[in-house]
Order: sequence, then C-alpha cells, then structure tokens
Amino acid sequence: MERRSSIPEIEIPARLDQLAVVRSYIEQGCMELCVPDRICWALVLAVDELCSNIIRHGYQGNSSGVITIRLERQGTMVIATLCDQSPAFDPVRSDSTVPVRLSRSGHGLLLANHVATIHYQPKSDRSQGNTTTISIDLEGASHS
Amino acid sequence: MTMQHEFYTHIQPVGDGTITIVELHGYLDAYTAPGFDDVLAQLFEGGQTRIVVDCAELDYISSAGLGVFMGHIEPFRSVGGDIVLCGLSPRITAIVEMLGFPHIFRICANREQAIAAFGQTPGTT
Repeated sequence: MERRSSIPEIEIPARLDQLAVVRSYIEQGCMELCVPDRICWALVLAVDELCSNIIRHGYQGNSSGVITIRLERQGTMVIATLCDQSPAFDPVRSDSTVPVRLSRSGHGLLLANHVATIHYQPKSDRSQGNTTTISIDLEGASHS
Repeated sequence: MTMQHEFYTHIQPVGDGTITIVELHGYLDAYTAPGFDDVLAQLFEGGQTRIVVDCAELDYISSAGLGVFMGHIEPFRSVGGDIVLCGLSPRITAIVEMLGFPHIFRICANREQAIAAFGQTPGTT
C-alpha cells in the first residue's frame, strides 16, 4: 500500500516578509514526513522561489492576497502545492524569456526547475484558483 | 516553528583600507535582498569598490540575493573594483554553480584568499 501522509496546510498573506514562514513550514513538514535533509533543502529553495514569484508577479504587490501551502508525501514523492487567487500568471513561464547572465532577476525559476519538477494549473471555471505543484522524487533525486 | 528571516551585514575595512569586507549573516531572500542592495550601493557611492563578501555565516540565499551580486558587478568592475566571494557553504556553492557564478565571479575558499585575490590578476585564484 502506498505511503501517503500530509501536513496541515497553512495560509499566508502575499507578502515577501512571509517567505520565512513558508521556509519554516516546509522544513518542519519535511521533518515530520521523514524527508531527507538534502531533499528538504531543495524543496525549501523551490517553494521559496515560486512563492516569491507569485507575490511579486502574480499579486503584484497586492498584499491582501493569500497563498495556501500544503505539503504531502505520496510514496517516494514529496509534493508541495501552492494555491493562489492572483490574476492568471504562469510562474513556470514567467522567467523563461529573461536573459540570466548578469541580469538582476529571472533566476528563480531556473533554480526551482533545477532542483524540482514544477507544474502549473491556472484557475478556471472549475477550480478555486491557480495551483502550482512542486515535487521531488526521493529515489530519483540527485541534488546535493 | 522557527522564523528564518534575520539578515544583517557587518562591514569592515582591511589592510590599508582599500578593501572592504562585507560579512553576510542569516537569510538572504527576496525580502531581505533590498537591504544588501543598499549596502553595496552605499559602498560604491563612497568609493569603496574592492569588496570581499564573506558568506561563512550566511545560512540561506535565494535568487533575489544572487541577483544583488549580478546587479552590482559591472559597475564595480567598470571603475577598477571587484566583488569577490568567499566562505560559501556546500549548499550555497551548489546554488551559485547552478547560475554559473564561477564563470562571472571570483570565488575563494576563505577571507584570506579573497583579500589576496585583489593582488593577483583575475582568474588566478
């Protein structure tokens, strides 16, 4: 039977000062889900980057917005799910056109994609909001 | 749940005062990066352009923190200065390597080597 467990979700205001809360939530959740430290580190980085993108580019400074974050483990997969209500904004594509070398921004998605698998589902008539999933296979991960 | 948002810098001139050490402490993310950006901007405006950034006490860095380095390196080099990094932990090293920092910045093992790097030609560290 597949091992499945999850951590109670949290909801944060869409403000950059909340990134510390997000990182703490992922770290604590990884401990509870027995996720190895090196995988936890990679997940913290990816979630931080994507939350930052949603706050800055999705909500565009509208601090009344919120992001809901859930962490779960399904078998060998550890999955963080971010839900937000910002105008449809694809964090997976947003940085892809920005030249990376010597540019001040545009590196977040590159880092996130380097350490995790990212999937984005924009809000629709059938969904409550935008959903971004960040997953890492514990058996397939080779990140340091 | 512990909070991970503390970030501060400690600035210290060394030698004859032409090199400035900037120690980074804590968590450098999208929230704290503007503070570090201000530090480098003020050093540049004050004519202090030979900078060693010591990351030995840096616990975490995200792309926003790395973007600060990217945004300042060309102006510093354009006036004969440089930003040299040192003291990176294995995980921060992994992050900077993902963005190709070793091709852009001089990265030294420790502060002493970073200071010595200013007496050498670029790329010899």
